[in-house]
Amino acid sequence: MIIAALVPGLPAAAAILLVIFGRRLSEKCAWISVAALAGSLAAAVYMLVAAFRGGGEEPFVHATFEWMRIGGVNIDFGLYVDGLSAAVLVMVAAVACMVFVYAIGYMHGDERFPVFFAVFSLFTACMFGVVTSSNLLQLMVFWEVMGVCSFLLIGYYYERPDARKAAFKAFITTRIGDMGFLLAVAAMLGKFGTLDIPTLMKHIEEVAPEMQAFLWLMCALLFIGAVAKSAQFPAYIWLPDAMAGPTPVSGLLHSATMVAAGVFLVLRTFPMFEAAHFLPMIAGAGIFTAVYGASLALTETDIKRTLAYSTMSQLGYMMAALGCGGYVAAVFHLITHGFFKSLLFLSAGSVIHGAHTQDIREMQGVGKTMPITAACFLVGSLALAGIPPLAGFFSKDAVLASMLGYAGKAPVQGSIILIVGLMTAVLTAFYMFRVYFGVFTGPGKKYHESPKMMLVPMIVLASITAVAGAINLPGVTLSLAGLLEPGVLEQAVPWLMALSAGAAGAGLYIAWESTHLRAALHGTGPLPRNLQVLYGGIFLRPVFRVSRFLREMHMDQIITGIVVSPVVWLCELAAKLNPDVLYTAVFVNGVGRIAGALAVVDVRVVDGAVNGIGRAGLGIARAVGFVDARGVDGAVNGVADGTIAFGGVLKRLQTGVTANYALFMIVLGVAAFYVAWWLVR
Amino acid sequence: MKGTPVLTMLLLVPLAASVVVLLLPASQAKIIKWFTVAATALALGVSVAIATAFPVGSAGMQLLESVPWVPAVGMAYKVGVDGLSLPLVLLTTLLCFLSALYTLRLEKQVKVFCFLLLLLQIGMIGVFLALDAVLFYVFWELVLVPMFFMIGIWGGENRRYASVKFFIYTLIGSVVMLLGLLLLYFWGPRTFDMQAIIAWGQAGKFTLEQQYWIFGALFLGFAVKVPIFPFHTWLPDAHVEAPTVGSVLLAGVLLKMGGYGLLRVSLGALPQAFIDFSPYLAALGVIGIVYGAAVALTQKDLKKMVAYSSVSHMGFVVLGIAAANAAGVDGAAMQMFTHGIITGMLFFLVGMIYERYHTKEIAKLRGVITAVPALGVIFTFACFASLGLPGLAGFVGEFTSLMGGLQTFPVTTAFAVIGIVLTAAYFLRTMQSVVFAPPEEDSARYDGPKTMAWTELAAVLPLAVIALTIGVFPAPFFNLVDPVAQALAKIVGR
Repeated sequence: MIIAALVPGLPAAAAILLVIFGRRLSEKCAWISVAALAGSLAAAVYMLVAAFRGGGEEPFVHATFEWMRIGGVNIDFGLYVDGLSAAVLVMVAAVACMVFVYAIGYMHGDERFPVFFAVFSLFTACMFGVVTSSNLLQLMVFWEVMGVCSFLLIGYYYERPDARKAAFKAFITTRIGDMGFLLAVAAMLGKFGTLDIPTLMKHIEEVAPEMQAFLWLMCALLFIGAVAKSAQFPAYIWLPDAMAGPTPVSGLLHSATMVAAGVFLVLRTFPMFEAAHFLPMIAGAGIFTAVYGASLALTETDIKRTLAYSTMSQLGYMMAALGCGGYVAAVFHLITHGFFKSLLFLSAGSVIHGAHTQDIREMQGVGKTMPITAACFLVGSLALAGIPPLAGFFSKDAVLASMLGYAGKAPVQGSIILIVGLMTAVLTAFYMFRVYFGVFTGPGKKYHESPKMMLVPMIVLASITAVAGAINLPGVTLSLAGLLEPGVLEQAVPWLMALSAGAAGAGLYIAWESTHLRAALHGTGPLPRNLQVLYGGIFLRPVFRVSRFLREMHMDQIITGIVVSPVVWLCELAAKLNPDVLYTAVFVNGVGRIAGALAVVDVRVVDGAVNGIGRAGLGIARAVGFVDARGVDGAVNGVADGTIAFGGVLKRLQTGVTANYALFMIVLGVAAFYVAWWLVR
Repeated sequence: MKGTPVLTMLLLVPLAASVVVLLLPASQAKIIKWFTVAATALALGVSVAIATAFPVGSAGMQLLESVPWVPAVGMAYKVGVDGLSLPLVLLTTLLCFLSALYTLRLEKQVKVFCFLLLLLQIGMIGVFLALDAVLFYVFWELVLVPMFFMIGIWGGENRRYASVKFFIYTLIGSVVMLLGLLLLYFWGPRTFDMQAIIAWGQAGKFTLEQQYWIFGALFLGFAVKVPIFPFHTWLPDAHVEAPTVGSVLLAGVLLKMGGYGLLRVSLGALPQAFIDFSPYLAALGVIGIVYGAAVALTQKDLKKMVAYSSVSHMGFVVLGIAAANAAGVDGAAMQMFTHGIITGMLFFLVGMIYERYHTKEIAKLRGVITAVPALGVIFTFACFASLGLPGLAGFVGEFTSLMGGLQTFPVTTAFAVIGIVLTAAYFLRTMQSVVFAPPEEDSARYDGPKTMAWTELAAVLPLAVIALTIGVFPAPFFNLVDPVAQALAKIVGR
């Protein structure tokens, strides 16, 4: 248990240490974070080994402590580590370690260096927290604090308006999704009286038949949270803008953490989605996002944004796999994607570091002078494209196999999903190699290869990417599938493997053919005649046309517009609908006059009383000052009109203000007393 | 401690101190200020002592003291404390102490200000301790006077309008409330003993018609105080004009008197009327949440924005009360406490920003993080606490209220999340431009020291620590409130 606590604990402690000692240590302080993460990684590996030994049947750690008790309902916090969390933890820790080392090189010379590493460490700690939480409420705490850290990291260059805007957009978009999460958690706590994940899942599986509608609603709400965090359509709009953050941030946020948290939430609560028969919704949303993201990536000219769209597309893949019941496939792809996407981001960062631009049209022949970066980017691209034998090939094949499995159950939907999935595979290889060939091959300027501090982590990640497919070889017991679903052996589908490799190859070939033609690379200009004859008419041109159409539609702006404009309009309307206006209308002509009339009466009634009370305290001048007509005249407020009348009384009474106040209370108190008396009578 | 009249002591400390302040010559400003700090510290100490000795887990009134006052009509000096009022008493003494610390910075008419601060403290503590309806009303009114003068004398440009509006609004509210209290007496057990009245009400001895009348009258008084939409319009004006300490106590403590009254008197003594009215109360709460946040989003004045955020946050209190199940009441109590802590902190911070830049206009405030880094960091923290970030105190109250609301009024409650999103939007927008964005040409300038004064840090850091502590570990608070919450929920059968 202590070992499990170390995983999030170490980077959190590092964050605190950095806040305290950061300034004194200057750039050396980053090694505290790296050491902490290395510790986390060791702990995670230890737990993974232990989880394998346990055969994956029982959770390795499930320890809870009383956190709070609301209305007789206990909420515990604690740690929960099973095969799923152990596997994801190892991946996150490994990627984070590498990204942090890379960041030491990348952020060198930054004036807020220690602050960056402090927030970055806290961010990573939160991701570990999400993965190890035993309780949904606790998970949400880490989830949201991670959101805040991402807000601070995306907006790290806060002098730049676009960075501030991107940070705002990311936080608000995910916050909207979090409302679904929040409602689901609050409602389920009230209904089931527990938020302990394993207990809750067991309970839900028991009661599922009686409360389908409620569960379906809960799943929908949870899924909204996951959609926003994992940048699924239509909540993807924050993801491309989030590239305004420093590249190491993108490398961690959009590969192994943050966006992975959404998928992880669905994985964690998977039994519930199954029981509520909610999976087809996830499959549909996921596959649409997958193909949509890939289409957008096809004509994007910013290298980081291309990768962002690719992330969105791959997350859609994972969701689609989950929706098709491919639990293991989704975890598998989540893990391999974490590795190769962080590799791609880090390589892209290295290119940006050398070329001082993010626009792929301005980068040419980078490979000549930055060979290591080019090689790493190539490995990442091959993996993402799904070329065997790299990691991406195996995980993508597993995803496709789960779609095939779904097609066996629901032929129509399943076949559509499978076909779109294969199409996306072609597109993926296409857009990735369009970037690779365009940026790295051919003649070009002289660039400087990045420092070792950046290259070493990239090489390590590239090596992992090359072999990570081995963690889930079909037919092997000691694999991810053996860990997650013991007893169920994955069966290889040779023809599907061939098809998926073929799709990747086709994409790669198209990219190769079209790359000499810069026009196609930019997604602008006509295609040359021979290509058009070949496949332009059948495949390429419509694809480009669709991609360009989608990009020019500016869907993100439409979505933002649909959400933002009416909200702004309503807020302004609400601000205008000040109830004061209504009160004025009622009181100016009504109460104001009555009060004035009363005031005249009061003079006579209370005069004697005042003399009795005595002329205590301050002079009238000050009292009058407060209720002076001039002080109120700006506001056409009826209530105040009444006051002026009362003020007149005060003026005439010539007594201390305290006494007047007492008088007010007595008079009104007596009035209240009479009304009460009258009512009681 | 048994037998010692600690609650009376708690009231006597500020009372005696206020007399001493009156006797001290106005020229000795420094002595007066430090004396006030010492007195409020003593009151805080007494309240903390009460809290540590409090039997956690009991739902009943503790430390009861009763002295006949006008026995002929059943009036008595009767005070007591339970799990519901204790946190509010603690909040009051804490915020008064921090306000006294912050007042060390004050130079204008120190003597009167300190006197009013102590007077205000008596009234606020008294309201939460009183168990006699007349005593309750006296303390309730006692609170108005110092606040009226605080706004009227130390306020901003438009202070006269604001103070008069505050005065009229709350006076009308409280007089109608008095009517309700009197009806409780006449229709009830003919005593002002609130425990007797509540017992009478729970025995079902008020007819339904009587309950409606009384509920309506009391509701108006409480609703103005909370404030519940649409009786909130005095609040933004009062806040904008009030001096920093006035705003802190106004938002931090005064608003809670309304929520406390609703729970103690309306729910306690008039269960049937409460049940019948609760759907509307929940709706008003949710409207307040969304409306307050929506209007806050359009504000150009920093202080007005925080004021409207109060309207929004107090909506969660109303929602929790309306839900009237254990979770709802827990949430309302928690939200009252945490709103006092967080919004108190925000008003202190706004005051500090104003002192430096001499403007509260959001569009002109830029780059606090580079001008005064500590202020920028604490302000960012306060914004996140206020927008309900899980892990900080604001979230706990909101979540628990929502949980309670979802059980009783699922559909109405669900709309509240719109307010939460809007809240995030206006706080982030403000934080980004005020704290982070670099100064522009027409931005207000500040070239003073880059550090905060110790009085400033002393005023906000304790609040920040509490906001974090409760956010991470709210159990002690819930242990205190939950028994009372369950007892209250039982009254209305939820």
